[in-house]
Parts: sequence; structure tokens; C-alpha cells
Amino acid sequence: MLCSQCGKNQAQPYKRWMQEGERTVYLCPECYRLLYGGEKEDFIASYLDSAKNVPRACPACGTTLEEFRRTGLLGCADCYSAFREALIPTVQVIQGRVRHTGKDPVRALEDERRELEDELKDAQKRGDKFMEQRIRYRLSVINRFISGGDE
Amino acid sequence: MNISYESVAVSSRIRLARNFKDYPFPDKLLESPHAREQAVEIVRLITEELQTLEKFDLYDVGTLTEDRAAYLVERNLISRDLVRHSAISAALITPDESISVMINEEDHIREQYFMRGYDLNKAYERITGIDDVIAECVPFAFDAEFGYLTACPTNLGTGMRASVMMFLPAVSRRGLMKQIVSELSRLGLTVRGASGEGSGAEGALFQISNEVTLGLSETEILTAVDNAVKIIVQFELRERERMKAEEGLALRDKVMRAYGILSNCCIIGMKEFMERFADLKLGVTLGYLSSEKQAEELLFAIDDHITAMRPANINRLHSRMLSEAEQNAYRAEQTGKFLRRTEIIV
Ligand SMILES: [Zn+2]
Ligand SMILES: [Zn+2]
Repeated sequence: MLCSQCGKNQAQPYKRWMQEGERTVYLCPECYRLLYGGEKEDFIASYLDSAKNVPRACPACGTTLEEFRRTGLLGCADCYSAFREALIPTVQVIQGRVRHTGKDPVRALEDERRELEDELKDAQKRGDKFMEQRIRYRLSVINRFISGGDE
Repeated sequence: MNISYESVAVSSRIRLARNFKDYPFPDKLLESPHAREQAVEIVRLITEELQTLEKFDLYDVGTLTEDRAAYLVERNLISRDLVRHSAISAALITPDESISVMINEEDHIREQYFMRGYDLNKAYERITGIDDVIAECVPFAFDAEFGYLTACPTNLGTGMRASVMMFLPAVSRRGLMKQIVSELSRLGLTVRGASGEGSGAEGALFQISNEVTLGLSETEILTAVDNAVKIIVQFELRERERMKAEEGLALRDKVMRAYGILSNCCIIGMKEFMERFADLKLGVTLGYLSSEKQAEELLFAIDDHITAMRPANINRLHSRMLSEAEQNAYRAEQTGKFLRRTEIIV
């Protein structure tokens, strides 16, 4: 199919919101850029290209930045550490912000750990072996979680 | 005339995306020779933990028939991405279909809570509780800067998508959607057609949700969506009144034609079925049609009927694959019965 704007170049489908919902427009990339401005993807690609101090591939899972650009997906949690420098501007473009301020599993668990440590002392004082065992188990779960959460 | 809020804000859904720290994300996991074993291990851990909390049915997507999977997709309990990952994916769903935990979709965990009507805070309360329980089985991938780590950076941070299904027949009929869409995108919100990503509007249903997931707290996201929903509800209600005043007889005609066709047709395909029911529902909200039930109850009953008449849902009622022609005939027959049963008063 040819571009509906210039009628010369090969068109590709783009989703746009128009009256009464989503429509597909068939334009060539050039005309699309002229009509609607650059796409987010172009920004991201240029940022990824300019990133310097990043490894070629994630040491944990082997995902490359090239793969990320193609699929939009990272391979594992460690990719975020490996490609951090390249990802920060990318995330800035996608999200508008780069700092999480919401729910934090570690902070919530640290609060719980403090409470449990007090309860553990009480249980020991009372000689409540059953309670002590339960609290210790829960603490071990939390500690494993928290130490696992640190880089 | 008293039109309730929930004739516009039809249902609420919140989903959280989570990943485990020590496993590759699902698309990468699929490449591993041990994918299936690791997946089975993840599913076992979560299932054990969740089932101590309440009853969940476990669906191993790899062993579902194609039609059964399509049935669950039509009911929004699982996604197409989950089906695409059937080698490693599973879902835990409560019998009332309010909670669905998808395992190995685009992320290891997609937890969602769905409810009739509009109450995002309640929805968040429910799902964050489920989230806490899952967090205890395996450590989540979490980063001080990026928050919850997700396979796609569009879900980073809270990993939360809060969405509200809105029935907007007046706004869309009067060509005002474009205005809403551009307004919302400035607020970091987005509008989609009813059946999710990339789909066009079906039956005048639109899904409003947050686009940004990082840098805002869950409460801030819920507030942003809530503010937008409130404004859109007012907008839609005002347009309904205007439309009624301006197009009175023509509009009533459209509604009554829809009622006539749906009551008497012998064959009906999904597309026409959706369009006619959108007109019929509009008629209910405008007070042209009523029944013994409250207007919102009647609308809920209609939505249940629409879901039940989707192709894979019909097949499931018959326990076999029907041809499209057979489905269209069955849909027409059942719709006539449904409308007689609800005793709609004209
Ligand atoms: Zn062109
Ligand atoms: Zn990686």
C-alpha cells in the first residue's frame, strides 16, 4: 500500500486516536513524522545509541541493548543494573520520571522486622517456645528477602 | 431522572506487575532448557501460599484446550500474552472471577482485581493484600531507583495499571472522544477501546487508565484516574441530556429499532450484536426502556449476557466448537429469550 499523504512511498499502519475512537492511518514514516512529529521510539533509539559505559550484554541473562531495542523487553532484573546508564534517559522519555516513590517491599518488611524483634524478646522472656519458633521462621523469611533485595 | 454514576463507570480493574529476582523474565525464561521446571516451581510456590488465603482454581495454560483458553480470554481472566507463553504459564483465579493471578505472562506475575461498578480504592486494597502474600514466597525484583522491575520499562515503578471501563455512547456519538483523549494524555492517562491494547472501541466502551507507572505513588495514580473519571462521567451525563433534547425522536427511534431487532432476529453476528446492545443500553440510561430492576442492575445483567454470547463462551455452553453460523443463530435465539425474561418495559 502507498502512503495516503504523498502517494509515493510504501506506507505502514500507525494507530491514531480520532473522533469516535482509534483509527489506523497508512503513511510512510517520513509523512508520519511531518504530520505527527517524531515517534517516542526514535528518541529511545538515539539515546540507546549514545550510551557509552554499558556492557554489550547483560552478564546474567545475555540480553543485549540491540535485543531490547527490537523487542522493548529486558531479559532479567540484572539487565537494569547492567544497562542503567542507557536506560535512565529511556525511562525518562517513557515515564517522564525516573525515581520510584510508591510501595516498597523492603521498607514495609523492615518495619515488620523491628516489630517482630520486639515480639521475639517478649516470647523469650515468657519462655513461649512455640511463639519463638514461629517468629524466628518469619524473621528468616524477611531476612532472606531483604538481603536478596540489596545489590 | 436519576442516572447513577455506574451507568457510566461500569467496572474497575487494578493490576500489578511483579517479577522474581532470581529468574529470567518470562520471554527470556522461554529460551532456557529448564524453563518448564522453573515455571512449575514458581507456580507451586505461589499456589501454596495463595491457597492458604482463599480458594483459587489453578489453570495450567499448557494443558488448556484452545477453546477453553479463548473462553478465559473473553472473560478478561487471562490475556493473549499468557496463552502465547503456554509452555510456562498458569493462572490462579478465584471462583467469583474477581481475582486473577497470571504467572509468566510478560512478567512473572500479573495480579489483577476486577469489580463491577466504580471503587478503585477498594480494588487497590484487595490487590495489594494479595501482593503482600505473594511477596512472601519469593523475593520480588525491586530497585531503589526504578521500583518494581518489569520486563518492559513502561510498567516500571509501581507496576500498577488502574483502569476503569466507561460506557460513553453520547460522548462518542457526538464526536467528543478526541477531545477527551488529548486532555487525558496531558494528565498521563490513556484511553483504549474496550478489549484492551490496540483494539477499537466496541459497544461504546472505553477503558481509561494511567499511562505513567513510575515516580508517582499508588495513591497519586489512583487520585489522577479518579479525577479524570469524575470529569468524564459529568461530561457523558451532560451530553446524554443534550443529545436527548436535540435528537429526541430520532434517538428514541434508534433505541427502539435496536430493541426490535434484538428481540426478533434469527441470526446475529458479534459486530451488529455489540452495536445494537450499545443503543439498547443507551436507551436504558436515558429512561426510554426500563424493567422491574434498577437501571444499573439491568445494565449489569445486559453486560453479563453480552459476555455469555461471545464465541468461546457460546462454545463452552455447548461443550463443542460451533460454526460461526450456528453461533449467530444461537446468539439471536438466546438474546430474544433474555429480553423477554428481563421484562423490559417500553
Ligand atoms: Zn508519504
Ligand atoms: Zn539480564
